[in-house]
Amino acid sequence: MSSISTPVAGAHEPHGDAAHGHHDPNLQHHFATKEQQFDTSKIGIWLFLATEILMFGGLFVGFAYMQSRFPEAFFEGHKHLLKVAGTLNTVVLLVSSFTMVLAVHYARTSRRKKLIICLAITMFCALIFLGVKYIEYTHEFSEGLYPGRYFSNPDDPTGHEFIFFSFYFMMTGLHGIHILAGLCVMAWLLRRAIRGDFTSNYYTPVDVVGLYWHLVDIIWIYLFPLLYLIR
Amino acid sequence: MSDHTTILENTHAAAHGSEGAHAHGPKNPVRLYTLILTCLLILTGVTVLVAQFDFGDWNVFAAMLIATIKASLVALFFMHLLHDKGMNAIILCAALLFLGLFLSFDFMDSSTRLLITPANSAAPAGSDYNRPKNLGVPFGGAKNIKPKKEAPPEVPK
Repeated sequence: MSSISTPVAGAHEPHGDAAHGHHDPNLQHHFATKEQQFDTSKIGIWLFLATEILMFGGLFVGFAYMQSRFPEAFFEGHKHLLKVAGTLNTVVLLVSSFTMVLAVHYARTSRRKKLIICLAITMFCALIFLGVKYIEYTHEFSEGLYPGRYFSNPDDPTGHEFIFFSFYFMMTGLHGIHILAGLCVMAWLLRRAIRGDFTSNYYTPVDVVGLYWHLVDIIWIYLFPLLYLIR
Repeated sequence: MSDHTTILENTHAAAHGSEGAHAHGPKNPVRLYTLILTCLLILTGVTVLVAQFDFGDWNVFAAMLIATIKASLVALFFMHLLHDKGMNAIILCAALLFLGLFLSFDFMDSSTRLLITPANSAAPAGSDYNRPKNLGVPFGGAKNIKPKKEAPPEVPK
């Protein structure tokens, strides 16, 4: 509103910040400084991550409730899972988090080639994760362990294994969708990194996607022992 | 104020060359990140190892403790919370606080409920018909219901 009423003032003394120039393409006009723009983006992604924590939190609370009600069913159910695959995926995701944080570091220090390599390794790890997940799902489907009412296991000694598998497919499925989404965003980052968009002057998208990726990693850090290692 | 920060940023950028205005992090980040990754992988091994033994009720506690240590390492170092502005940590803590409330209220509910089985579902809803004698009235919720004086008839088994 004020910019409409005083267009001249807005044009001639835009930010009181001559050091960054008037035509910096990375500084949007509604921010006073680059630092303010950067901090705003960070607060935005953290708020988004807070909603993600609460969304997955609902599933974790439901899991805790049902696990305490049907401990035998959850114990019998988790025996069907491929423990080696789960462990492998944990390692893969931790390594991908490591390469992602390196990507942020190299973007911040304007090292384009290393940034591209790190992003590519991170995406490769995400693909491995999804591939292993595909093998696991195929294995479980072949045993008739489908989600919800399609579940069938005549050897189920407890009669409640389907509850475990409903949680298993819902939680790992939602997590897998997050991996897929991260993969898509990283493909966009990779394209921009190859184009040379990210320097120490501007690397906010790499940082923000990195934070998202680490949260997906943290969620798996909790999912792995709960689903694969419970007793 | 903004002039002041501009000067600071300029001197900072000049002093550190390619290091940007936000480089308040560790001195040797690559080595630190490698160390953190090593810790995370070791802790993953510890989780798998611990799960081989049965500690009874402590199984879940041990698994969640290790997972929380791992998550803290990721949040503090990979997500830069240790060197970052406090606002982001406040947002994370707020989310965790509400998740904790959710969990604790759910636990209070589930741990004070009577399991409904065919044997005790014969009673009309809301009455104290089959409530064990040693349980009090929860949260004063059943105050309006007149307690039955006479002994209830046999419950169908």
